[in-house]
Amino acid sequence: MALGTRTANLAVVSAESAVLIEARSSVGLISFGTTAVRGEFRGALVNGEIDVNEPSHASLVVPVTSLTSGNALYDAELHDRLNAQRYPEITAELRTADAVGPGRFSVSGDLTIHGTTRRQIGTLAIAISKTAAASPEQPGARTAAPVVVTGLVVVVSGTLIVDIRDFDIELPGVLMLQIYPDVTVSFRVTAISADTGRTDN
Amino acid sequence: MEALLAFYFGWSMGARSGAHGMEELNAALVSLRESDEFAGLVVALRSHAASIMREVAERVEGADGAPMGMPDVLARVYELIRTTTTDSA
Repeated sequence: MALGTRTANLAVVSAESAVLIEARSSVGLISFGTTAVRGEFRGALVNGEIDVNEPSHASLVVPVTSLTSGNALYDAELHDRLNAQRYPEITAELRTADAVGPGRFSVSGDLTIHGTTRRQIGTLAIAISKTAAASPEQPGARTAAPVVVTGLVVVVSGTLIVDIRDFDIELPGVLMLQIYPDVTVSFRVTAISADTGRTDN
Repeated sequence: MEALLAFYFGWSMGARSGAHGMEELNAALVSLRESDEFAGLVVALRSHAASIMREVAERVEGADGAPMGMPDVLARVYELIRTTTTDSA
């Protein structure tokens, strides 16, 4: 491990993370969103930047039933098409990352929807800072108020075009409404860690 | 209603005038259906319907692109995603 390298273990802060799925339809845009995003990141940081030469791990989990459009009919149709009972989660696992510019990375990862996994390629923007932030909610915590800690804050954002037919999903249809197969997935994931990473100087 | 009744009686009287009259009527209807004018009418109606649906969709979505009456969760999602877009711009 190089000088100035530290190991980061971060957990996703659901309250500051979101996934937005926008599908085109015959009557306009239909949006599904959720903030119920879970996940973690483990990797090496060099001088405040992610060291892509060191092994890293990042994963995200989105519960299917947390996706909502505000229209119960659309929500039920989506949950039905994604077979939420059998495949309750959408998951993403980072596989490779290459820096393409300051704070920007070309990445590939495995996206699993409807029990089908497909390799996706895209670009991520990653902003790293050290600041105060709310810690992730702790199960069984005695107080409802978030604990404020000073640590590493990583904000990952990006947009991906996904063809839902690749995931063995029938095109949703409500009454005469037609949904087109290419959907835009936008996300913003905030992850934090207490400042406990090892520093090699 | 009166117009429909008048059409029905007219149709019946025409039908009683003989099979030849009916054949002429059917042939006229077929040629009308296959005409360019009829196809143009269908295209115009479909285009008009699509325009109305788009307008309804825009009104439902609202001026800022976020659906009106959306739940708090979706409002928060839009807020977070837009913050990201603004940050990276």
